[in-house]
Amino acid sequence: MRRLVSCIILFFAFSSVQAQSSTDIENSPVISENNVDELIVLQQYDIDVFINNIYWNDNQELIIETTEQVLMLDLEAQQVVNTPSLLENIYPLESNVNLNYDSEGYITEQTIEIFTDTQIVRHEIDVALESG
Amino acid sequence: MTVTFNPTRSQITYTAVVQYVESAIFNLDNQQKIQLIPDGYFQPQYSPDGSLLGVMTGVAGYGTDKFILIDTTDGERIVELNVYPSTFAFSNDGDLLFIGLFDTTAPNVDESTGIIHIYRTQDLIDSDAPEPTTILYMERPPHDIVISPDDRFIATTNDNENYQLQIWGVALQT
Repeated sequence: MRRLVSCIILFFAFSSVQAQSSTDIENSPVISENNVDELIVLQQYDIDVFINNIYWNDNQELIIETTEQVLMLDLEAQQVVNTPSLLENIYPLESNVNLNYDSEGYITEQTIEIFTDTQIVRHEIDVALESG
Repeated sequence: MTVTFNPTRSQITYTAVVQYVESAIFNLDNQQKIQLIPDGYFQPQYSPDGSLLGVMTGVAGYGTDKFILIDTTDGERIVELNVYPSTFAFSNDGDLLFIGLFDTTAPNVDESTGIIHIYRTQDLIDSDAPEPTTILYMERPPHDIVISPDDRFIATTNDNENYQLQIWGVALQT
Protein backbone atom coordinates (compact mmCIF):
# COMPACT_ATOMS: atom_id res chain seq x y z
CA MET A 1 0.00 0.00 0.00
CA ARG A 2 2.84 2.35 0.92
CA ARG A 3 4.50 1.71 -2.44
CA LEU A 4 1.23 2.36 -4.26
CA VAL A 5 0.79 5.69 -2.48
CA SER A 6 4.38 6.60 -3.26
CA CYS A 7 3.89 5.80 -6.94
CA ILE A 8 0.79 7.95 -7.07
CA ILE A 9 2.63 10.85 -5.44
CA LEU A 10 5.51 10.52 -7.89
CA PHE A 11 3.10 10.35 -10.81
CA PHE A 12 1.80 13.76 -9.93
CA ALA A 13 5.29 15.04 -9.14
CA PHE A 14 6.44 14.91 -12.77
CA SER A 15 5.53 17.29 -15.48
CA SER A 16 7.11 17.39 -18.90
CA VAL A 17 7.56 20.14 -21.43
CA GLN A 18 7.76 18.83 -24.94
CA ALA A 19 9.99 20.85 -27.26
CA GLN A 20 10.05 18.48 -30.22
CA SER A 21 7.87 15.64 -31.42
CA SER A 22 8.68 11.99 -30.70
CA THR A 23 9.40 11.57 -34.42
CA ASP A 24 12.31 13.98 -34.03
CA ILE A 25 13.58 11.98 -31.06
CA GLU A 26 13.61 8.78 -33.10
CA ASN A 27 15.57 10.42 -35.90
CA SER A 28 17.86 12.53 -33.76
CA PRO A 29 21.41 12.40 -35.17
CA VAL A 30 24.56 11.50 -33.29
CA ILE A 31 26.18 14.38 -31.43
CA SER A 32 29.63 14.93 -32.88
CA GLU A 33 32.32 17.59 -33.16
CA ASN A 34 30.65 18.74 -36.37
CA ASN A 35 27.21 19.51 -34.94
CA VAL A 36 27.81 20.13 -31.25
CA ASP A 37 26.98 23.82 -31.70
CA GLU A 38 23.40 22.85 -32.59
CA LEU A 39 22.49 21.30 -29.24
CA ILE A 40 19.07 22.26 -27.88
CA VAL A 41 16.82 21.01 -25.08
CA LEU A 42 14.55 18.29 -26.51
CA GLN A 43 12.73 17.32 -23.32
CA GLN A 44 12.53 18.77 -19.84
CA TYR A 45 11.15 17.31 -16.61
CA ASP A 46 10.58 18.91 -13.21
CA ILE A 47 11.11 16.44 -10.38
CA ASP A 48 10.04 17.10 -6.79
CA VAL A 49 12.62 14.93 -5.05
CA PHE A 50 16.41 15.25 -4.85
CA ILE A 51 18.22 13.58 -7.74
CA ASN A 52 21.23 11.68 -6.41
CA ASN A 53 22.51 10.38 -9.70
CA ILE A 54 21.60 9.77 -13.33
CA TYR A 55 23.12 7.38 -15.86
CA TRP A 56 22.29 5.68 -19.16
CA ASN A 57 22.04 1.89 -19.18
CA ASP A 58 22.98 -0.28 -22.16
CA ASN A 59 19.40 -0.21 -23.45
CA GLN A 60 19.50 3.54 -24.02
CA GLU A 61 17.33 4.15 -20.96
CA LEU A 62 18.15 6.96 -18.57
CA ILE A 63 18.13 5.78 -14.95
CA ILE A 64 17.36 8.43 -12.34
CA GLU A 65 18.26 7.69 -8.73
CA THR A 66 16.42 9.97 -6.33
CA THR A 67 16.35 9.97 -2.54
CA GLU A 68 13.10 8.00 -2.68
CA GLN A 69 12.96 5.97 -5.86
CA VAL A 70 14.87 4.67 -8.84
CA LEU A 71 13.17 5.96 -11.98
CA MET A 72 13.58 5.37 -15.67
CA LEU A 73 13.05 7.84 -18.50
CA ASP A 74 11.33 6.50 -21.58
CA LEU A 75 12.55 8.93 -24.25
CA GLU A 76 10.12 7.80 -26.93
CA ALA A 77 7.06 7.94 -24.68
CA GLN A 78 8.40 11.10 -23.01
CA GLN A 79 7.58 9.95 -19.50
CA VAL A 80 9.36 8.91 -16.33
CA VAL A 81 8.38 5.56 -14.83
CA ASN A 82 9.02 4.03 -11.43
CA THR A 83 11.36 1.02 -11.38
CA PRO A 84 11.70 -0.31 -7.80
CA SER A 85 13.36 -3.52 -9.02
CA LEU A 86 16.49 -1.57 -9.98
CA LEU A 87 17.16 -0.63 -6.37
CA GLU A 88 19.12 -3.83 -5.70
CA ASN A 89 21.68 -3.16 -8.42
CA ILE A 90 22.64 0.45 -8.07
CA TYR A 91 25.67 0.19 -5.78
CA PRO A 92 28.01 -2.59 -6.93
CA LEU A 93 30.91 -3.18 -4.54
CA GLU A 94 34.14 -2.22 -6.25
CA SER A 95 36.23 -0.59 -3.57
CA ASN A 96 36.26 -0.33 0.16
CA VAL A 97 38.02 2.11 2.48
CA ASN A 98 39.23 0.84 5.86
CA LEU A 99 40.24 3.14 8.70
CA ASN A 100 42.03 1.90 11.81
CA TYR A 101 42.02 3.93 15.02
CA ASP A 102 44.29 4.06 18.08
CA SER A 103 43.02 3.99 21.65
CA GLU A 104 42.48 7.76 21.61
CA GLY A 105 40.35 7.66 18.51
CA TYR A 106 42.91 9.00 16.04
CA ILE A 107 43.16 7.37 12.63
CA THR A 108 46.42 5.42 12.42
CA GLU A 109 46.01 3.54 9.17
CA GLN A 110 44.01 3.99 6.03
CA THR A 111 43.65 1.20 3.50
CA ILE A 112 41.84 0.96 0.19
CA GLU A 113 40.68 -2.51 -0.78
CA ILE A 114 39.99 -2.96 -4.48
CA PHE A 115 37.67 -5.74 -5.58
CA THR A 116 37.66 -6.61 -9.24
CA ASP A 117 36.08 -9.40 -11.27
CA THR A 118 33.50 -10.18 -8.58
CA GLN A 119 36.06 -10.28 -5.76
CA ILE A 120 38.39 -12.86 -7.37
CA VAL A 121 41.28 -10.39 -7.21
CA ARG A 122 41.87 -8.12 -4.27
CA HIS A 123 44.47 -5.38 -3.91
CA GLU A 124 45.27 -3.51 -0.73
CA ILE A 125 46.87 -0.09 -0.97
CA ASP A 126 48.27 1.59 2.09
CA VAL A 127 47.60 5.29 1.94
CA ALA A 128 50.32 7.42 3.47
CA LEU A 129 49.49 9.27 6.66
CA GLU A 130 51.67 12.10 7.87
CA SER A 131 51.87 13.05 11.50
CA GLY A 132 50.50 16.47 12.26
CA MET B 1 38.15 9.63 0.16
CA THR B 2 37.33 9.01 -3.48
CA VAL B 3 38.43 6.05 -5.60
CA THR B 4 37.93 5.93 -9.38
CA PHE B 5 38.77 3.09 -11.78
CA ASN B 6 40.07 3.54 -15.31
CA PRO B 7 38.02 1.89 -18.12
CA THR B 8 40.09 -1.31 -18.17
CA ARG B 9 40.26 -1.52 -14.35
CA SER B 10 44.03 -1.68 -14.44
CA GLN B 11 44.49 1.64 -12.68
CA ILE B 12 42.77 3.71 -10.00
CA THR B 13 42.98 7.31 -8.91
CA TYR B 14 42.33 8.18 -5.32
CA THR B 15 42.28 11.20 -3.08
CA ALA B 16 42.68 10.72 0.65
CA VAL B 17 42.03 13.59 3.03
CA VAL B 18 43.16 12.17 6.39
CA GLN B 19 45.07 14.00 7.88
CA TYR B 20 46.62 15.65 4.84
CA VAL B 21 45.50 15.39 1.26
CA GLU B 22 47.15 12.66 -0.77
CA SER B 23 46.16 12.26 -4.41
CA ALA B 24 47.70 9.53 -6.53
CA ILE B 25 47.32 7.25 -9.50
CA PHE B 26 47.90 3.58 -8.66
CA ASN B 27 48.58 0.94 -11.31
CA LEU B 28 47.05 -2.34 -10.19
CA ASP B 29 49.16 -4.38 -12.63
CA ASN B 30 52.61 -3.38 -11.35
CA GLN B 31 51.68 -1.82 -7.98
CA GLN B 32 53.27 1.48 -9.07
CA LYS B 33 52.01 4.62 -7.39
CA ILE B 34 52.24 7.98 -9.19
CA GLN B 35 51.90 10.85 -6.75
CA LEU B 36 49.84 13.79 -7.96
CA ILE B 37 50.05 17.35 -6.75
CA PRO B 38 48.28 17.04 -3.38
CA ASP B 39 45.15 19.02 -4.15
CA GLY B 40 41.71 17.82 -3.28
CA TYR B 41 40.43 16.20 -6.47
CA PHE B 42 36.68 16.05 -6.91
CA GLN B 43 34.83 13.68 -9.24
CA PRO B 44 37.90 12.30 -11.04
CA GLN B 45 36.89 10.73 -14.35
CA TYR B 46 38.95 8.88 -16.93
CA SER B 47 38.60 9.52 -20.65
CA PRO B 48 37.14 6.50 -22.50
CA ASP B 49 40.60 5.32 -23.63
CA GLY B 50 42.05 5.83 -20.14
CA SER B 51 44.81 8.17 -21.33
CA LEU B 52 43.41 11.28 -19.63
CA LEU B 53 42.05 12.00 -16.18
CA GLY B 54 39.74 14.96 -15.64
CA VAL B 55 39.42 16.40 -12.12
CA MET B 56 37.94 19.41 -10.41
CA THR B 57 40.00 20.98 -7.64
CA GLY B 58 39.37 23.50 -4.93
CA VAL B 59 39.75 24.26 -1.26
CA ALA B 60 37.64 22.09 1.01
CA GLY B 61 34.55 23.98 2.08
CA TYR B 62 34.94 26.67 -0.56
CA GLY B 63 33.86 24.84 -3.67
CA THR B 64 35.78 24.15 -6.83
CA ASP B 65 37.83 26.77 -8.65
CA LYS B 66 39.72 24.86 -11.32
CA PHE B 67 39.36 22.09 -13.88
CA ILE B 68 42.47 20.01 -14.62
CA LEU B 69 43.31 17.43 -17.27
CA ILE B 70 46.04 14.95 -16.31
CA ASP B 71 48.13 12.51 -18.37
CA THR B 72 47.57 9.12 -16.71
CA THR B 73 50.92 7.71 -17.81
CA ASP B 74 53.03 10.13 -15.78
CA GLY B 75 50.60 12.24 -13.73
CA GLU B 76 51.60 15.47 -15.48
CA ARG B 77 49.01 18.21 -15.80
CA ILE B 78 48.09 18.86 -19.44
CA VAL B 79 45.85 21.86 -18.89
CA GLU B 80 44.42 23.89 -16.02
CA LEU B 81 41.26 25.95 -16.56
CA ASN B 82 40.52 28.67 -14.01
CA VAL B 83 36.77 28.13 -13.91
CA TYR B 84 34.20 27.14 -11.27
CA PRO B 85 33.13 23.67 -12.35
CA SER B 86 30.11 21.81 -10.98
CA THR B 87 30.53 18.57 -12.95
CA PHE B 88 31.93 17.29 -16.25
CA ALA B 89 31.82 14.37 -18.69
CA PHE B 90 33.69 12.99 -21.68
CA SER B 91 31.79 11.95 -24.79
CA ASN B 92 31.79 8.20 -25.46
CA ASP B 93 34.42 8.53 -28.18
CA GLY B 94 36.47 10.89 -26.00
CA ASP B 95 36.53 13.61 -28.66
CA LEU B 96 34.45 16.07 -26.66
CA LEU B 97 34.58 17.22 -23.07
CA PHE B 98 31.52 18.78 -21.42
CA ILE B 99 32.33 20.95 -18.36
CA GLY B 100 29.42 22.22 -16.26
CA LEU B 101 30.11 25.57 -14.60
CA PHE B 102 28.80 28.16 -12.20
CA ASP B 103 28.22 31.53 -13.85
CA THR B 104 30.65 33.69 -11.88
CA THR B 105 28.88 36.93 -12.78
CA ALA B 106 26.12 36.14 -10.26
CA PRO B 107 26.33 38.04 -6.95
CA ASN B 108 26.52 34.77 -5.01
CA VAL B 109 26.56 31.04 -5.65
CA ASP B 110 22.90 30.56 -4.76
CA GLU B 111 21.87 32.92 -7.55
CA SER B 112 24.24 31.57 -10.14
CA THR B 113 22.92 30.34 -13.45
CA GLY B 114 24.53 27.36 -15.15
CA ILE B 115 26.75 26.94 -18.18
CA ILE B 116 28.20 23.97 -20.03
CA HIS B 117 31.40 24.58 -21.95
CA ILE B 118 31.98 22.01 -24.67
CA TYR B 119 35.62 21.54 -25.70
CA ARG B 120 37.27 19.44 -28.33
CA THR B 121 39.53 17.28 -26.19
CA GLN B 122 42.36 17.64 -28.69
CA ASP B 123 42.15 21.44 -28.34
CA LEU B 124 42.72 21.08 -24.61
CA ILE B 125 45.82 18.99 -25.28
CA ASP B 126 47.24 21.16 -28.06
CA SER B 127 46.40 24.72 -27.06
CA ASP B 128 47.89 26.83 -24.30
CA ALA B 129 44.67 28.85 -24.06
CA PRO B 130 41.86 26.57 -25.25
CA GLU B 131 38.45 28.02 -25.95
CA PRO B 132 35.16 26.07 -25.81
CA THR B 133 33.68 25.29 -29.18
CA THR B 134 30.12 25.58 -27.85
CA ILE B 135 28.46 27.06 -24.76
CA LEU B 136 25.09 25.87 -23.40
CA TYR B 137 23.08 27.85 -20.88
CA MET B 138 20.67 26.69 -18.15
CA GLU B 139 18.92 28.18 -15.17
CA ARG B 140 21.17 26.60 -12.54
CA PRO B 141 24.64 24.98 -12.59
CA PRO B 142 24.39 21.36 -13.72
CA HIS B 143 24.72 18.60 -11.11
CA ASP B 144 25.17 15.82 -13.66
CA ILE B 145 26.07 15.53 -17.34
CA VAL B 146 25.70 12.07 -18.90
CA ILE B 147 25.90 11.11 -22.58
CA SER B 148 23.76 8.30 -23.99
CA PRO B 149 25.60 5.17 -25.23
CA ASP B 150 24.67 5.94 -28.85
CA ASP B 151 25.92 9.56 -28.51
CA ARG B 152 22.53 10.99 -29.53
CA PHE B 153 21.44 12.54 -26.25
CA ILE B 154 22.90 14.39 -23.29
CA ALA B 155 21.04 14.37 -19.98
CA THR B 156 21.68 17.10 -17.40
CA THR B 157 20.24 17.82 -13.98
CA ASN B 158 20.16 21.01 -11.96
CA ASP B 159 18.32 22.26 -8.88
CA ASN B 160 16.20 24.96 -10.51
CA GLU B 161 12.85 25.24 -8.67
CA ASN B 162 12.81 21.68 -7.41
CA TYR B 163 15.02 19.46 -9.56
CA GLN B 164 15.19 19.73 -13.30
CA LEU B 165 16.12 17.02 -15.79
CA GLN B 166 16.91 18.14 -19.34
CA ILE B 167 17.55 16.01 -22.42
CA TRP B 168 19.70 17.70 -25.07
CA GLY B 169 20.05 16.67 -28.68
CA VAL B 170 20.96 18.02 -32.05
CA ALA B 171 18.42 20.37 -33.62
CA LEU B 172 16.98 18.85 -36.78
CA GLN B 173 16.75 20.84 -39.97
CA THR B 174 13.15 21.62 -40.89
